[in-house]
Amino acid sequence: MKKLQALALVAAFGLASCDFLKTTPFPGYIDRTDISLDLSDRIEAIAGGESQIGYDLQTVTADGRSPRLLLLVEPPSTDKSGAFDYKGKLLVLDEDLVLRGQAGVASSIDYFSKPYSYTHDGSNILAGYTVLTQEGESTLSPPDPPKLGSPHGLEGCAFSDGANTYLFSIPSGKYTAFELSYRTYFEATWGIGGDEDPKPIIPAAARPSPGVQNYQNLGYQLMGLHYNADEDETTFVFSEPTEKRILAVRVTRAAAISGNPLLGYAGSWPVPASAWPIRIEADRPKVAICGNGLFLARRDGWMEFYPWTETGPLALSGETVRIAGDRALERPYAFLDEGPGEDAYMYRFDPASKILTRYKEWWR
Amino acid sequence: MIRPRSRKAFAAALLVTALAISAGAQAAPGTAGQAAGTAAARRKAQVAVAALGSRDELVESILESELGAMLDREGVEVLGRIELRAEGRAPEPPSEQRITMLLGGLDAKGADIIVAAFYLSRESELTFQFVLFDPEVDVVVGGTVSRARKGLAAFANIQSSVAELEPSIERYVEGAYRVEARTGFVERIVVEGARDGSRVVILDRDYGTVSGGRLVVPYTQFAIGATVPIAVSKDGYHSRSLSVTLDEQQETVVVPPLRRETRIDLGARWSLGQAAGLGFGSRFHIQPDTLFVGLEAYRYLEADSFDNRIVRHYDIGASVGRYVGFPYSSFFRVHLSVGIGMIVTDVEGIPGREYTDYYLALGDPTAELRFGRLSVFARPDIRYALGLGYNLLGRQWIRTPYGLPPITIGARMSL
Repeated sequence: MKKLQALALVAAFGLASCDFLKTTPFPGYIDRTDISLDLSDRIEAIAGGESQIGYDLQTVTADGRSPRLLLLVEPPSTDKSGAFDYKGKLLVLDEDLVLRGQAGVASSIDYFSKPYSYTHDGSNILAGYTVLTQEGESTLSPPDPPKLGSPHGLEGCAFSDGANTYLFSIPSGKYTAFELSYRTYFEATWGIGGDEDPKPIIPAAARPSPGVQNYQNLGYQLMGLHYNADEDETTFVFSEPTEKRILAVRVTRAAAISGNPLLGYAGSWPVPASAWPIRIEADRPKVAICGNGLFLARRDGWMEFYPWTETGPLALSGETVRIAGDRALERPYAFLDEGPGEDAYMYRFDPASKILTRYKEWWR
Repeated sequence: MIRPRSRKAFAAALLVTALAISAGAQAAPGTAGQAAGTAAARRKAQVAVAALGSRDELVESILESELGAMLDREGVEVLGRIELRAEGRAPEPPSEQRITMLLGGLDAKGADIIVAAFYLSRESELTFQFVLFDPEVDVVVGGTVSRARKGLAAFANIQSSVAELEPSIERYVEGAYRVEARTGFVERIVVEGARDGSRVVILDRDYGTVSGGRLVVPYTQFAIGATVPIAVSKDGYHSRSLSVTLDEQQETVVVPPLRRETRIDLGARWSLGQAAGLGFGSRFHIQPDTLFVGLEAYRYLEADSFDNRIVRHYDIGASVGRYVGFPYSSFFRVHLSVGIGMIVTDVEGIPGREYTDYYLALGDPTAELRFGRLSVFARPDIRYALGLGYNLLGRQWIRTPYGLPPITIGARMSL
């Protein structure tokens, strides 16, 4: 009998302590389910009977402004004749999943895309080529939305310090790069700043020769950025495909646009693996950034949060939080964490049911 | 004297008389030996003829006259015929035990020996069992079993069957109390090991059912060294067939006990990957221990719900499966199954927003070890989530983040 009790105790202890035993096929965030919103009627109205609908989910934040959740709904945008006819709509919601508005693009040749960011001109939101109000309405000023020039890619990131809106992106047509395209907008007229020089990612001496085999893929990808208005600091997150890792650097805004190599501020160059041991074994994970850490939604199903220092030189701090995530690649996720004392949420949109769900933070 | 009771019996009696005269002529040279026996003490016999099924007066007349003639040749005085009723049970040759019971209860009326003939008339076949019974000590001292076709050849067949008994009579008359089996033939077969009520068929002949753990097979002339097929069957059990070589005069055949057929089983299971839970299931076997349909339910909690909402999963599935590769009697078996199911995930405090993951079970290869009616099993749950409706898993293979499908272990009890 005592042996049986001991065996049961060992089994219970094993079950309670072993992640392997506790793991289920289900995501680890279900127990944080908070509220949800059924958007099936609205999406049906947007897309009709289309089944091949694309979705994207983003959060935009800025100091002193209410966070906004942007759900992009993109039905196929080619008509029967093959002509481009963009039908995408952007749903603008607040952090409590209250739908504030629904926006379309100004003309049939425009479309919604990254970067998504609050802008310098009051309380508006930049969504690719289009500027929207916080309620999802197209603004009348400027009459023409900013057109990104050909050097700029579509996967860029942006932030605003109240005076300017700063755009960084991998140059158009490239998979990786050693420098970022750069542009600023200012004033209500969306004037374009004079400095459009590319901003190097690594020192020129560290760049391989353009003649090297596979040169086009030896560079970096910009995964995201975060701006801390209080400290006037910007955090850049890159993936380094050749090293199969993700690394990040935090610099002041002035340093970011100075033209000095961004990763030169990473403490030491080359950046040691021990400083950024975030390995990527399979393709590019979904990445989201907040002031106190980095989210990874890996394609093998794990979700991770890497906490880092909130101000000053960037370094990983604290233990990585890992939960079973989602292997269904079609579901977009977005994260909102504005720091200690503020509510933090994860948002998930399910294309099958068209239900948007908010989960309380699982990483704190 | 045979008294014909019908025209057909009368014709047979004439035929018997003619043949008896012929047999007497053939037996004449041997009468000297018999005289020596009869000089000491002429033995007396009673003849009994009994139908095991429906009566056939012609057959009875022939049997009675042939037995009488044969006994007369051997110098045994026939005192008369005793009425014997053997019907009432299954139409099959009686066991030695039943013969003793039937003949032991008769009044032998001073006879030294009872010569009994049981016959079974079935379709086109006649089965005879001749028994030599000593009423003094209620012991069967000899006998033969034979079969014959009905019809015109019946008389000749009966005559030759009676002739097979004659050596036993000779030995009896010569003074041997116990009739020795003829050299080279199996004298007695006992079947043991089968459950009571099991039916035993040797070659193509049904020898009755096992009772009290054994069956004494009615005497049949099998040569020693012969290999015969034995089939044992019983309702609700798997039949067994085996080949047995009869090496001894007194042969005991031990057959393995029949295994119950599984019609319904109940099981419990636990899955690695759904660790904080337990499941139950039941299967109905369309073809026992081979083809089945099953229902399973599994309920489990998220194991990490200490300070958050409690999450409960209800996994319900139906499947159809088949055992492959190994016979039902094997200790190790494998079965495959396909089915459908759904996992409903209920988050406490969020009414009306249960997640539902529909899935297909595609294979579920299950290894099973059997310990009588209890079996233990293990399997990977190979399931594909369909990603329909408000779901959690999306459209993909169901597996944990470690890359493994849930591994299920469990036990089943056959009812």
